[in-house]
Amino acid sequence: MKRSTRLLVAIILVLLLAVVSVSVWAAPGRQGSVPVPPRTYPGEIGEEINIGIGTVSTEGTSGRVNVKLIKDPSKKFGPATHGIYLLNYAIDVKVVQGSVNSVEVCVPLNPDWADKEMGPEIQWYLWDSDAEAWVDVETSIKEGVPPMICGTSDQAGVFSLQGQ
Amino acid sequence: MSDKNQGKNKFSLVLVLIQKSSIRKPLTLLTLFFILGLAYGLTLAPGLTWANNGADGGDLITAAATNGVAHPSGYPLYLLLAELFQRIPVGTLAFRTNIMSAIFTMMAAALIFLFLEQWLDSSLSALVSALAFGLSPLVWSQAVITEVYALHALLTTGIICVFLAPVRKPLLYLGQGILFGLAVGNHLTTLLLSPLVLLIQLEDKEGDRIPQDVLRKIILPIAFRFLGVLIGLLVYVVLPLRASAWPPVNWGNPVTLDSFFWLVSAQIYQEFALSLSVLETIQRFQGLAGLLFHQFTFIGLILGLYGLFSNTSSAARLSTIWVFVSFNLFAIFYAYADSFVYVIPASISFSMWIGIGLHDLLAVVSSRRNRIRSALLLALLAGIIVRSLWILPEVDASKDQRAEIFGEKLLASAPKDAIVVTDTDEETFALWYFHYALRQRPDLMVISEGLLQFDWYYQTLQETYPGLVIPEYESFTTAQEVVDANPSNPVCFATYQGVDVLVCDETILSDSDATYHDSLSIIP
Repeated sequence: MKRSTRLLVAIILVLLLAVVSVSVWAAPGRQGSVPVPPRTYPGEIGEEINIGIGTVSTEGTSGRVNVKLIKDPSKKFGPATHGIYLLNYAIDVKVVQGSVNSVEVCVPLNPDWADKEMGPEIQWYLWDSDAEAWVDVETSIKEGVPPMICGTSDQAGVFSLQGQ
Repeated sequence: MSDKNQGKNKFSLVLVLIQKSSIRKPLTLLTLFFILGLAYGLTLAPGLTWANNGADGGDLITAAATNGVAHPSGYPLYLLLAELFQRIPVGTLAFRTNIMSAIFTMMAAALIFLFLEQWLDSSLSALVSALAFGLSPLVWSQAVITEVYALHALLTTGIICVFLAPVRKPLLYLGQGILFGLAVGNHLTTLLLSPLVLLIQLEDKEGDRIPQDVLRKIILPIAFRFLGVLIGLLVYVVLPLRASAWPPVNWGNPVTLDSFFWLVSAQIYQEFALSLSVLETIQRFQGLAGLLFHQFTFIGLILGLYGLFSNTSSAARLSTIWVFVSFNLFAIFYAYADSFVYVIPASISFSMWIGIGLHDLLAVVSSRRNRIRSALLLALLAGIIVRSLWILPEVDASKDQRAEIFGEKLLASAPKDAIVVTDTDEETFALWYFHYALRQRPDLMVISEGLLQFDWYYQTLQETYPGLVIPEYESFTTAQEVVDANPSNPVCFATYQGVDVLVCDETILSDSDATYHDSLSIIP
């Protein structure tokens, strides 16, 4: 390439850069070397707590619960009982004060799960820390907009939706 | 002969000596060191700083000083070198580590100078190139604080230079590999330079492009380089060795294969890769264009792009293009707020192109008038220096005392035996520096809320503060839960909100600080 051609190409490229350039570096949200603390969802026993990906309802004596989302449950608890974790989170319901006799965890029913049968194909589980295994809990579908798939247990703990 | 004429003759003699003799190169190199030394010296942070996105400095300084492990990927080479600099008996611990960045950046600029001087046989063009690099705002900003990017720039420049060196000796190939492995031990993005490991200059003295002896000319060099890379990577062994002594800064506690891999692969930051939306990606490309203008100015960009299209050797051109494109693309697609610092290696390539372009353009002028050539070069040098005066306030870290004031005030006013909960990098690392590295207020217990989600952090806290009760749950523990489990200890929530430095009470934060309140997830 001749010198004059090279110079012309360089000038044109620089002009093009000047047209599109901005002095801002797009940066989504707060970040740092220290990760953002995971969100927790405190609430009263007896009320429905919105946890973003669904709801948690409790019944029992008056008191408080705290709900935490555990990302990537397979890393913390090992492989799912029958196949895969259908949610990328396990839901930890912890009683801070008082006691509960019923805990219901619900998430919207994904259309991809609509044809699945309750049981191995789609099922809520509760983590048994002594046995270090998932124990299945009562699972049902609540009609509504959207329909919700709910797991119910008489105790608090870590809930996980699993299936095939 | 009059005094005036005598003076004129002496000046001419000096000029002739500079232009012709062997002192030209060292003299120009000294000029480079003087200019950069002055610029960096005037703007170097005197202590711990948050200037120029330097919040990680507290982590790096403390990890080096306490034989610890820094945030992922661990930065083993950086920590070892920082420890050496921290032994210099001058200034504060932070100052000594800041100096390291200035020296490494000057060395990187000197390498660019020496490489181009050899290549172009033009000291002044090489000087302009080295100054364009060393005084570009981004490079300068990282040269005056504690961060890994100065060493990254030095090692990247070293890799470009030695991999393009026309020498064919097994020991050199081994050395090239070792340098590459060590560079990976400083920053993982060095892996973007991997294609250079496979770069073999096939052209021999006779100009024969197809080597007769494939084993000797291709396979053995690459094998020696790979062996060298493996040797260089051994620097990572220091991480588990350091971790085994339970230092207070012990990211990942890399004593098992799993935790070691978690640390060195920077798993917690991998979610940032390729997670930008299309719109944000477009904005990043536009931002990169803006960044290039800011680094090199209109004239610098024209010179650089002109130099890119010059008739340089194919290996040099391909290598510098690869460095420029790969690092820029990585910076664009890595969705981290200050990922623009990853373009620093790309600036090395661009600075080299500026030198090449300038040399090529001046060749036209020099064939006609030597004085015009000298005048143009001097004008360009003067322009770079004048511009640096304009950039100086932007990169100046010498007056930033926010981190020092924050750490000292907070530690001074925290009640005895308090648990101090931190949130962001700024707060956490500043307190680590004063508490762990400088050993101030050993009665306090500093807890990072964001790190409580990791098992290794529980273990580190338990080793560091044996008296602290940390409840363990299936999920993770919040700071409030730790506070609840230690009712006899006063509690401080350390936060930094702009110029308001101190928010530390024996109770929880005030309601007016709603943002921080939310992030702490305090149970009402």
